[in-house]
Amino acid sequence: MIRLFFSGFFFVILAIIQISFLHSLPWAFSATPLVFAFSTYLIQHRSLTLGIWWIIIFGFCLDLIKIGITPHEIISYTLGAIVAYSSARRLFSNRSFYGILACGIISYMTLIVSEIIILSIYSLTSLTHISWTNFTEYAVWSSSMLIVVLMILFVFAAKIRRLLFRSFILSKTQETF
Amino acid sequence: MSGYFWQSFKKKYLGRSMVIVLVIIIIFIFRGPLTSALSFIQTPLVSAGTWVTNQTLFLFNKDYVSVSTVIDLENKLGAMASDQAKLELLIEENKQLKEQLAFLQRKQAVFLSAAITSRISAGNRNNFTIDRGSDDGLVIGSPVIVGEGILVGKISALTKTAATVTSITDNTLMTAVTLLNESRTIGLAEGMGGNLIVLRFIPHDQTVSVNDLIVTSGLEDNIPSGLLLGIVNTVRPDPTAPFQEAIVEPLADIARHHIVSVITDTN
Repeated sequence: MIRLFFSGFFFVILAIIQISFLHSLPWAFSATPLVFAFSTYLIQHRSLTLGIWWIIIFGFCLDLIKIGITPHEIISYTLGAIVAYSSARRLFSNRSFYGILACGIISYMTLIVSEIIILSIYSLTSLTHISWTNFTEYAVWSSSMLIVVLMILFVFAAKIRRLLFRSFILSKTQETF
Repeated sequence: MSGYFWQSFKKKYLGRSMVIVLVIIIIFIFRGPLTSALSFIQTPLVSAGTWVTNQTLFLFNKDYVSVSTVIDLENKLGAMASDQAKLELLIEENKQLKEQLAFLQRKQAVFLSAAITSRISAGNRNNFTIDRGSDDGLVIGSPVIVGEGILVGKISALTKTAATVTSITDNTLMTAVTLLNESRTIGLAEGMGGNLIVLRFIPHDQTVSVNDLIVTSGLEDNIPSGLLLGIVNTVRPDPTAPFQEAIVEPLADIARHHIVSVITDTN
C-alpha cells in the first residue's frame, strides 16, 4: 500500500512537471518526454514493471484531458510500454548506459511509429490537414530530449536507487526481472 | 498447457492489472475534483515556464530586441489592431443604421479570467487546459481570448472544474471569419499546426492583400463578431486553381500567456 502511494505520488509529480512546466518552455524543451524517460529507466535499469503502468496511465491521462499529439494516445503509449518491457527483458538486459539508451530509443520509436499510423488513419477519415513537417520536427526534438533525460538519469543512478529504496518502491533483493 | 499459462498469468499480472484498472476508473470518475486540486500546483508551473519563454525570446530571434521592447510593441500592435477592427465595424454598422433607420442593440460580452494549467504545442496540436469549467458557465465552443480581444482558441472539452481549449492554430479547429478588406470576404480560418492559420476557398474575384485584418464573423454560436485573429501574411493566388489561399499570422502567441479570458455570455 505504501509502495502504491509513493508510486502514484511520483507519477503525479512527474506528469505535472511535464505537462505544465516543460510544455510551457520554449524550443525543444517543450517536447521533453519526462514521464516516458523515467518509466523506461525504471523498466530497464531497475527492472521495475511499475514503469509500464506509468506509461500506460500517462497515455490515458493525455487522452482524458485531450492534450495528446494524436487521438487515442493510450494505444501508442501501451505499445511503447510493451516494447520497453520486452526489449529490457530480452534484448538490452545489460544495465549499462548503452542498454538504457537503446531500450529508450527503440520503445520511443515504437510510440512515434504508432502515432504516425494513427495520424495517417485520422487524416484519411477526416478533413483534417496534417503537417508532417511539424510532426517530424516534434519527433526529432522529443527523441533528442529523451536521450538527454536518460543520460541525466544514468548519471544520478545511485541517488535514484536510494530514493526508490526509501519510498519502498524498490526492494533490496530485487535487481533483475 | 493453457491452464498452466492462465495460472501463471493470474499469479503474476491479474492482481496488478486489477489495481491499474481500478486506478484508471477512479481517475476517470473523479477527474473534475482531481484537476481542480492539481491546478494549484500546475498554475505556478505554467507561469514559470511561460516566464522562461518570454525571457529567452531574444535567443530564438535573428535580431536582438529587448524583451520589454517586444512586449511593449506587441501591446501597442494589439491595441491598434483592436481599434482598427472596431473602427471598421463601427463604420459598417453606422452605414447600415443610416440605411435602415433602425436601432441596433450592441452585444455585451461577459469575460471570465482563467489560468492555464497544462498545454501541448507540438506536431499539429496546440491545446491547453484551464482551471474553469461548466460550473463557471462555460460551454463547448466558448471563445477564449487574450489581450485586447484577440481570439486564441475555443473550448473543445469540459468538466465541471476544468476545460480543454483548442487553439486557433490547431489543425482540427476552424473558425468563421471575416476579412477586413473592401468586400468583407467571409470564410473559414483553419489551423495549420505550428503557428499559422490558413484561409482557404477564397474566390478569385475577392481582393486579399497582405496585412488585411481577420476577425470573427459572428456566424458561429457563442462566438461574437469582431474578435481579432490575425493579419494576412501571404496570399497564394493560383490562377489554375478555383480558389486562392491566404496564410494568416495570429496576433497573439498563446505560448507567451498563462492567463486567458473566456467569453461566457454574448447576450
